[in-house]
Amino acid sequence: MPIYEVSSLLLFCIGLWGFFDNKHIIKKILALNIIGQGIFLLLISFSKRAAESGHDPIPHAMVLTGIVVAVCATSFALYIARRYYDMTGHVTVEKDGVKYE
Amino acid sequence: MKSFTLVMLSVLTFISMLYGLSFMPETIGVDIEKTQRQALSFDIKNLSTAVLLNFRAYDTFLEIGVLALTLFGMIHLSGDQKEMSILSKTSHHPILIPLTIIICPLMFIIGAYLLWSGTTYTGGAFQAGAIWASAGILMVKIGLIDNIRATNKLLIFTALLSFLSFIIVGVMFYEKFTYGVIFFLELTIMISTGITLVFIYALSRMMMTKRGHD
Repeated sequence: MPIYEVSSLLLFCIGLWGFFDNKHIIKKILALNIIGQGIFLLLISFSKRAAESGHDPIPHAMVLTGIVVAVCATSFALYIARRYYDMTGHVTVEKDGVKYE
Repeated sequence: MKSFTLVMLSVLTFISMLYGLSFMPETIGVDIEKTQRQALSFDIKNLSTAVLLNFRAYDTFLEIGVLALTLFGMIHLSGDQKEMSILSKTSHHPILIPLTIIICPLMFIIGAYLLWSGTTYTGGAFQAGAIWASAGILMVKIGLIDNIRATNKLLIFTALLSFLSFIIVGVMFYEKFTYGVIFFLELTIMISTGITLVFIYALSRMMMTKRGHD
């Protein structure tokens, strides 16, 4: 049983479930990050499939790039969430008292 | 009922992806030795660094672009607090201040070492920049850095420095990415990453100061 692949898929699905099951914006952002970690782990586990000697450096480099992009996106999303809370006082996406799910 | 459906859908996704995984080939025909030979011809002994800055330099270039884009988005969203200073919210904690003074020089040294070791071992500009940025954030917290404003031109220029230097290097040294050029790029990436991350932290701190809670 390829343990890294299976656990990365598990992380992906936990994140997917968390994303759709929570209404709180911060929880949604956290769930998106968990999905991202699952994909990174999958890429890392693919890098060892490459050949007999050493690892394939391209998935490795893609994950390094992905981590930086994920950090940027998360910080921007948190900033927007914070502005949204400042302007409306809500922590969930809603309009005129009706929650969007 | 809705929760149960979502759990079942997630489990179904997991099972179908697991099934798809069984069709993946055990090995992929990648010629690592060829990559290794090419990397060594550029005086770089770490394969990941070689991939990031030689073969797939566009990735790194656009990654820096995303970092700059985040910063500009935040400055744009900061609205009426552009001229605000973070001075009013410094911490006077009796442990944090001496800890910062002791630990910050060490963090700068470790960051510089990580940058230098990127040629041969795992390490590199972004990791070094992250460590420098955490030292900077500690200094912002105790008030050693207190003049960050969203309209500071020098800070914005420094945050864009790596993006500009990447363009210049790409135009001028297109054929020969030598060790010196790559080291210059890594240095500017480290400085820009550090400054940008501290800037982002300071911007969110300004917002909290405005609301009156930490």
